[in-house]
Amino acid sequence: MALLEYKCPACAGKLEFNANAGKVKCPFCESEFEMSVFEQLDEALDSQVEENLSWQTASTDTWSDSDNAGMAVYSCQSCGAQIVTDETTAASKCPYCDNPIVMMGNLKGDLKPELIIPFKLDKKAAKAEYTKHLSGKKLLPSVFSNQNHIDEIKGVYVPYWIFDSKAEASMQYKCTTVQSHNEGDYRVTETQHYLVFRSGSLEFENIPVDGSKKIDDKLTESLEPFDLSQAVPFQTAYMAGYMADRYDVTAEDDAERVNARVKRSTEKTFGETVSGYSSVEVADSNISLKNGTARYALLPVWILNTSWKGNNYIFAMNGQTGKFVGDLPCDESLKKKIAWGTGIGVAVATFVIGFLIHLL
Amino acid sequence: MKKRALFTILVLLLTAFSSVSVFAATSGKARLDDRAGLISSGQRSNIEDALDSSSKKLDMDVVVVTENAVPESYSQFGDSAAARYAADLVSDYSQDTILLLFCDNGEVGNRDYAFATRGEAKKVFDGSVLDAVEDKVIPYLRNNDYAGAFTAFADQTSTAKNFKFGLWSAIAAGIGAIVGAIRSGSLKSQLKSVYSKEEAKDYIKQGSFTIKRKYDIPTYVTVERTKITSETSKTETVVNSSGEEIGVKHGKV
Repeated sequence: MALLEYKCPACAGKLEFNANAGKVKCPFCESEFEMSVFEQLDEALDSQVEENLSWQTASTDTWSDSDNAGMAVYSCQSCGAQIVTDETTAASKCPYCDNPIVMMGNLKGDLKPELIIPFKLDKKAAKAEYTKHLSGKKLLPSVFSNQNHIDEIKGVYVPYWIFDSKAEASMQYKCTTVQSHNEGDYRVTETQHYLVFRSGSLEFENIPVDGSKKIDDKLTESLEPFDLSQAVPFQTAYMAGYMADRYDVTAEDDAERVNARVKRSTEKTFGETVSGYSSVEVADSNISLKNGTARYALLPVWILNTSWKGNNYIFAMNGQTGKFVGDLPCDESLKKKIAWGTGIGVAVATFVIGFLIHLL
Repeated sequence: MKKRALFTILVLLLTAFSSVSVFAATSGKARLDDRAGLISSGQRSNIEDALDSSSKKLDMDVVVVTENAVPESYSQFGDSAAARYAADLVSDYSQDTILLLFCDNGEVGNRDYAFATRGEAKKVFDGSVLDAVEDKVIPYLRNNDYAGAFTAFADQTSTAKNFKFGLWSAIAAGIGAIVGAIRSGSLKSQLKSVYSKEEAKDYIKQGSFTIKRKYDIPTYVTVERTKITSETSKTETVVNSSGEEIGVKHGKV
């Protein structure tokens, strides 16, 4: 027979039932609790879910001989990227590291993408966005912007895992409300402590996580969002004129990243329902994923890779929405000049204002 | 004729460079009114010189009044009796006056002091400036060094209108450094557009969020009692018996 043990919410000490008072009492901190508190506590604890954050790969279709016909697979000897194109598309350089790529075997037996979002924006739009991305940046070294890399922008279908799931959560919070009043020469502060429980569910759909080691996760996350409602079943015809990267990160490998995002958003969403307290602290969090599935998809990205002063810079544009991202180099000496110039100018102005105030 | 012209010039020069009278220009009252007899005759002239010098520099009266006790008629004001008395005393002096009242009842720790400011002095001796004067004076009063206290009062008040070079330099340097760092940081941040996404809130299906169970259970109460520390000195504005608003700061020493 299991012995039920309650811990004191104030000090975590083992609670005891005081038959005389008809209350549960903590022998360590002497806090007393009405029995009704434990009835509610039991009910809340019963609703708790076991943490479970596992996913299943929904895409199972593989490349067949007929699919494979007309496709070429290249390998980058430098970064290891495997690039897929149709045979009519000339591919000589890796879109990620700009090193030469060589033709290798075929795709037979590989997992075939389930979905694809076709490119909506062409190379001309990508060039225009790149020019816009560089303009108006005072600390961008002029030498960098003067070098013309614009023709090297390549359209790449980046492999993504698209995650859908229902998250069931039970959250426990320690909350307080504080009230103060004066009693003679004393300030009396009363803190009412609460145990707060929330349980329920919410659904996530179409969370994209890239399935390529060659492209930085931060870069692909910065390209979000993609509108998956415009995704269509994969057909090799969409590949004409573009490259595609073969996935080298499985859905299971990506699960840790997506779980962290789902967990954070679930906790935040439930946390928003806990209001009216002076302080809120998460005491316990259990999140379980139901029907978690991952689908293999190719999403359109324009990529420009360039190096400058020994550093590699990669820029990317969402081929569906036109969102352009990529960190730019900084002219550190100009930055120092601006900091000092602004600082000295403002300091002198402040000093003069101070002197004028004194004269008034 | 030449002698008369020379005499006129000499009179004008003497007038221009002569020190200001030891009496307040409009009231004609002494700037040191030692009714409690705390100052020896040897100390008096030094204190008066210091008060005159400060008065001249500030272009206002800097006055010290001592008493053995606050008059009984002010007892109705309780803790503020000394402040109300000082507020009445200050109106006997010129339009712009700062006055220090010290009442030596012989009970160390329970002796009243009050600063009263009138006219321009209310603006000059506002907040931290009057705090600085108080900080200089009180240690001397605590040690029963009355001459030292009143001289310190005169000396400290005389600096009230000095331009605070060090303070303004530090403020200017601080603001300059902060604005410089913000501007260069802001320009640098324009170069960064790649950020990791920590959440998935964009992918929550609309209308899918449901709360099945919701409990807010009050568990226990903690009570904390802290003694309210009474301030030894308070700054306030009072209306004196003439109906004039006077700035006062008072306490016990």
